[in-house]
Amino acid sequence: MATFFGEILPVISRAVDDDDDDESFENLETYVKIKWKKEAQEEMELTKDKKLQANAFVLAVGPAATGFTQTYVTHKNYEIIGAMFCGMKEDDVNTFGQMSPTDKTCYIYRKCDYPSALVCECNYDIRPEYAHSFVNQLMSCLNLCEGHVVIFGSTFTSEYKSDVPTSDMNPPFMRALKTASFLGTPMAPYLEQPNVATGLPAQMLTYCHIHKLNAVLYMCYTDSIHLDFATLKTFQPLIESTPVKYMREENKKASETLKKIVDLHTKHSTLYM
Amino acid sequence: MYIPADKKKSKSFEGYTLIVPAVSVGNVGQLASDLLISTMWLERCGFIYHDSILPLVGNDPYAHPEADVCKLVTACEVYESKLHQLVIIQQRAPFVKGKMSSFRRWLTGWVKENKFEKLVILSSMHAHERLDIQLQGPQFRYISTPDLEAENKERFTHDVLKWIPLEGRPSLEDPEGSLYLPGGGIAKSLFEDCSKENIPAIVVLVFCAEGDNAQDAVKLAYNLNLWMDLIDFKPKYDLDGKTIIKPASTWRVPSSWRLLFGTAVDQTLFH
Repeated sequence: MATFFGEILPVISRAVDDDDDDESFENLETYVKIKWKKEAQEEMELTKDKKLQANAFVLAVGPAATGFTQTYVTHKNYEIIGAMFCGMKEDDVNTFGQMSPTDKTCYIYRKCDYPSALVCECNYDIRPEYAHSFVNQLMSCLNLCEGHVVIFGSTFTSEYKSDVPTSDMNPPFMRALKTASFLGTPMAPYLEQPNVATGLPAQMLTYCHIHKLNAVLYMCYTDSIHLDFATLKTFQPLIESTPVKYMREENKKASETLKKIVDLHTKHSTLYM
Repeated sequence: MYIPADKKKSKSFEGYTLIVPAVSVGNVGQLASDLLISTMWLERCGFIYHDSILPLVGNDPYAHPEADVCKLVTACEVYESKLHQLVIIQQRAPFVKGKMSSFRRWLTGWVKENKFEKLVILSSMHAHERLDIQLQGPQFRYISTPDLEAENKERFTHDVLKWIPLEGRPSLEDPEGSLYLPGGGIAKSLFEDCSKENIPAIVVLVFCAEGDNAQDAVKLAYNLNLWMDLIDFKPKYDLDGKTIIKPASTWRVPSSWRLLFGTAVDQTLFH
């Protein structure tokens, strides 16, 4: 393509030609693996459909969402029953040992006194190509028929299109999308056309929508590249959302926990001390 | 896999026409599908949940701009018109690299299983790849399987349509000229698959470049409508020939086409 100034530029197009099929995402199905703790696996074997009963499920994707759930939900009274790994083989051993909030992990927690309440905190950057496999593997182990699902995610305001300039929107702000089966009203305005959500949160909401589960996706739009206090605070009112209000654990030191999480993320990102 | 929106209603698509957009240059096929679905107010009858399509969710793309409800849309959905015996697939997300052949295999299987009468593939081609003779004149082309060609030859060459078949390109394997569709996405390989499987298929395309492709989509949809007679844009008059019962209509642009180039520039930059 020749530009006005006479230079030749390559043509960029979203159309992908067929011959690109030769390179492929190797083994999409086996690259992402969910591993359950022995006790959880044994429980699944005992049920009729080999699944864990789940009345409440929270999926938190990314550092802001997981920071929120770590502070207000899973900090106490929750046990790890499983985890998702990338590139790990069936017989590899893992102790589920990485415990810092900034570690790249994806753990599945269960509330000790409410065993059908589960939280999946995904701090791992899962590529959209692996989202299908991840959601299928996870949901094939859970029986969520009567349950409620909530998905928390975050993305940049640069992805948000609106008539109003971004600075007037006062970021960070929250938007929501829900499945047809969810009859309530989410605690944030609906995501307006033509905006869309992609990646793992979108895959989970799609699955819930198709299988007629009650689910809501809350997406936080932030203009900060690194996790900051304001972004975490935007999630805070959602502790009253269904089903989080039944699963939360009061945290008297919430502000300190939030500050600690922000500090841990900041350590890796400042150019100047 | 295809998941019907309402499992209780058993559906048969036997004898229907299936319209499939290819993710092609300028996304013209997908935009044309949007115009057809929006103007004909089609009902969503199901979803396609396949690991070859990247995930995407959003609010209802065909809703009124002022509406404040949430009607979820996913990456690949299926719309139906019983009146026109027509099913349209709308794909809003790209394919996973390396999985296009998997999707094509599934689609051709689904077409045969549901006994669709024919497959119409909406696509586009890079304008910079045009031959000299293609530089001027109508920018719309088609290519169809021999059975559809024979059935429709008279209509295609008729004054109303005047459709031009896509010129073939000689290649090393085929000096006579073979199908050359750069930028057409899966259109070429899907068409070839259909030819092998004896599924009547036709590819309709326009030459275009990336940019604001709304007009290219209108051109594609307009030509398709001339052939398939789906929407009547002319006004309807009463028996007296003067009173208008139904005014002339036009393509209904969906609200998802808003803000094509993103949010307006923040004017505080210039202060």
